[in-house]
Amino acid sequence: MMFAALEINWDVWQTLPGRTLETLGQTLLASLVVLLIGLPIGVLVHVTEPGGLRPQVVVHRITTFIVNVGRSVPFIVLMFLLIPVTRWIAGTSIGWRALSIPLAIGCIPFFARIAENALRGVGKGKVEAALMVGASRLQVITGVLLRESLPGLVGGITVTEVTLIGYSAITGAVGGGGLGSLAYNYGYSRYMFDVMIIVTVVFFVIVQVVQMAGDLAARRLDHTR
Amino acid sequence: MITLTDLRKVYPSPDGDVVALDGIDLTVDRGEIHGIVGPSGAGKSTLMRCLTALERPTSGTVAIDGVELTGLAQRELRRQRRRIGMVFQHVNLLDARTALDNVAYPLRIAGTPKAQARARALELLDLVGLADRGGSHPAYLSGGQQQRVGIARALAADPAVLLCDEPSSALDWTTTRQVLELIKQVRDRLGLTVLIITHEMSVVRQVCDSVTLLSRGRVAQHGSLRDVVTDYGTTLARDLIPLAATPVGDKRAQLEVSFSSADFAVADVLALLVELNALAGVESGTIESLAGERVGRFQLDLKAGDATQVIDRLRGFGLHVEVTR
Repeated sequence: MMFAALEINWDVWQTLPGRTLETLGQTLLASLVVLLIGLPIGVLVHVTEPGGLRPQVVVHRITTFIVNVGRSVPFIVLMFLLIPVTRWIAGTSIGWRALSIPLAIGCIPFFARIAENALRGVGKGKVEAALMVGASRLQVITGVLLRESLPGLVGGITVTEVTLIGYSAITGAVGGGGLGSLAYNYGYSRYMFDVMIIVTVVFFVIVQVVQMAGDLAARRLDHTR
Repeated sequence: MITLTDLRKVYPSPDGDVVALDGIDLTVDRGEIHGIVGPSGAGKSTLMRCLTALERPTSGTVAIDGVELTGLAQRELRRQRRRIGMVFQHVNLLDARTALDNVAYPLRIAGTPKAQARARALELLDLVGLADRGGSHPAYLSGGQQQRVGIARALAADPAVLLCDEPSSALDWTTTRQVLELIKQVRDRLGLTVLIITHEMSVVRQVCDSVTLLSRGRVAQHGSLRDVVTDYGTTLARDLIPLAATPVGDKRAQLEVSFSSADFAVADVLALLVELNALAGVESGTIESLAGERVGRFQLDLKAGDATQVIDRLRGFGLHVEVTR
């Protein structure tokens, strides 16, 4: 009976490449923003902590608080919450481009936390050794903290990327386009089970490729094994 | 030259202040290898951190070749730090860089062009005997090789002073000897002032010209190696010439005899011990070559009743005698 119900809706399948590109485009756009804003926040949290490179209790508390608040709001709620912001920046609150805004904002705290964790893995001795040869704090951040944690950061970027892809599907349910909209509008609302399956397969392939590329890059960058 | 004047470091804590350094005065002359020893908690690490200005002392001054580090502004401090080469217990090489780039790093930081920095780094790797390993990442080097790279890095910016913080504590015995020998060679060739912080007396025996014993944040004993080992009965003299502990029977006494070839012909002392052997047998003993002299310590076991006679004989000869039991 299952198989009899599984008819193929070719007209919907034809939109698959376009929708896939939307998902990829939205994820990529959001990734850039997440990396550009999330990484500096992660660095800020790390260097301002007590005993850090530049201890600043107040700055540390504030940034940590913002990161925690950001992480505690469920993405779907955040998306609705940010509609005015999205509209203000993009002029509209629908379409893959517009919804890359809440997507990015939702993932910034997530990546900041991951980046901070990777930076924490760099031994204090390395930082002291660099300071001892006369490195400035900025030189320590770029030449030691970021460079030494690069394999970990790349691993973190991979995890963030997969999360972004997943969240991007959620935006599809509220007019964000992409593969998520196919799954929601056709697979869910019109009971097109074939669409559900093919969307699942495409997501699986995308995530698999991202994960493999990330693992490969991290391994190439890691000189400790 | 390193000069510390009345150096104090107090860490405030809720349970009362912790005095880590309690007025340290110390001078290490140019070209000298000076050891700082002491039990853990004596203040060795704090002293090292104050010397490198990674930590500001509560009061007192630290001066390297006459330039006072305490109170320098950040920028000037960074410039002065380049005059201090630092060797760490855990080496602290950068894993993402090759051995060559690790050695070149201090120069790159200071703005030396890449080619020039690498050429200098290669010279230094050659000096520490690793010219062929420049392309290897630290993870592919042995512990001893890593420490050699660490020493080369410490020398990169032509420092006047080399500070070594437990440089051999993570290494096995053979590698320790090689690393210490290298530090000595480097001193001889470059005329550096070297300060070694260690908890191992063997390190002091092998390379140091002079030594300071820290205890509870104060200088407990200080002097040239030759002076401290012949200051018989002191902590350093005992720790530098260790004796195996031996059991003592009832109604037996135990004496310790110390001497140096500066005052006695070793053969004469041995002959005296042989002569006294019928009354007092040697239980344990050692003779070490230290600071150009042979220094010895012997432990004698004898009947309690014979003690006075034996002690008189030994003291009459001019030897340092202590009754340990």
